Amino acid sequence: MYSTIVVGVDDSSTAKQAFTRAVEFAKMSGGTLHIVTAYKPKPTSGADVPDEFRYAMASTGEADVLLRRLADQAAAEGVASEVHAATADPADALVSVADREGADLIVVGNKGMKGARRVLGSVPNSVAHRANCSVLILPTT
Amino acid sequence: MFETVVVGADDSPTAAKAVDAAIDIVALSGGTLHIVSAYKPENRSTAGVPAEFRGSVQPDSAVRSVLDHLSARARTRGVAVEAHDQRGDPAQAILDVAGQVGADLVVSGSQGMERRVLSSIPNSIAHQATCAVLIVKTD
Repeated sequence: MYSTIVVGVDDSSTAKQAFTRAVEFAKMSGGTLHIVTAYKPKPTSGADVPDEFRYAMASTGEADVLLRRLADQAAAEGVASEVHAATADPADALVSVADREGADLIVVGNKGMKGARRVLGSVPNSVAHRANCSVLILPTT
Repeated sequence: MFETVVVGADDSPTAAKAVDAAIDIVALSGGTLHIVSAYKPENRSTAGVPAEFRGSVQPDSAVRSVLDHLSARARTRGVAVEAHDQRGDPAQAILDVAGQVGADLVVSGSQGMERRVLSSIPNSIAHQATCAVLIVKTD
C-alpha cells in the first residue's frame, strides 16, 4: 500500500509515541521507513578542531544517536529503514526528503496542531499544506 | 491499528480517492469503515413542486446514492462498511461520526488544503480530530 514512508522525529516523548505507531503502520503496510530528524548545528567555531573532524562534529552527536536508536527499533519490528539528519527547518526537511525519495506518505505527530499553537508554522500544519504526497497525522499526548 | 476508520465522501473524484485509500487500510487492519456524506439543507423552496415529487428533490437522495455506490465498492474488497448520511457542515459531520463510533483514524482528501483557507474540510479535520488523520493526496 504505502511503500516509501517518511517519518519525522525529534527527542521529545510525543515524537517517540508517534514513531512507535509509524513503525506499526509501516509494518502493516509493508513499506520502508525513512526516519528524518532536523537539527541545528551548535555554533562552535571549530577553530581548534582538525579539519578531518569538523564534519563529524557537526553532524554526529545527538541526532545520529537518536536516528540509530530508532532505526534499531524499526528493525526489531522487521521494518526496513533509512535515516536522514538534516540541518534544515523540520517541515522543509520532511518535505524535501519525501520528494527526493519519492515517498507516498509522510507521518508526523500532531504536536502543535491544536489549541493555542494551531496557527500556521507548526510542523504538522506546514507539512500537511506543502507535502506532495499523503500525510498521516498521529495523535500524541 | 486503525480498526475504526471514518472517511468523508461526496460524488467528487477526490472523495473517491480518499475512500479508496481508506478501503486499503481497513482491508489490512480487518476493521470497519464508516463512510460519511453530508449535505447542507438548502433554502430551495419546494413550493410548486407536486407533493409526490418532493421526496425526489431532497438533497439526501443524492447523498444516499453516493453512499450506496461507495459502500458497494468497499464490500467488493471484503471490507465491513457502515454508511452515515448527515445533515450539516461536512467537516463537522465527519468529526461527529468519528466521535460517535470511537474512530482511531479519519481519512480526508487533500483538496482545498493548499489554498491555506482555514475553513477547508481537511484543514478543519486535521486541527480538530482527536484521533489520527490521513490526508490523502488527491490533487
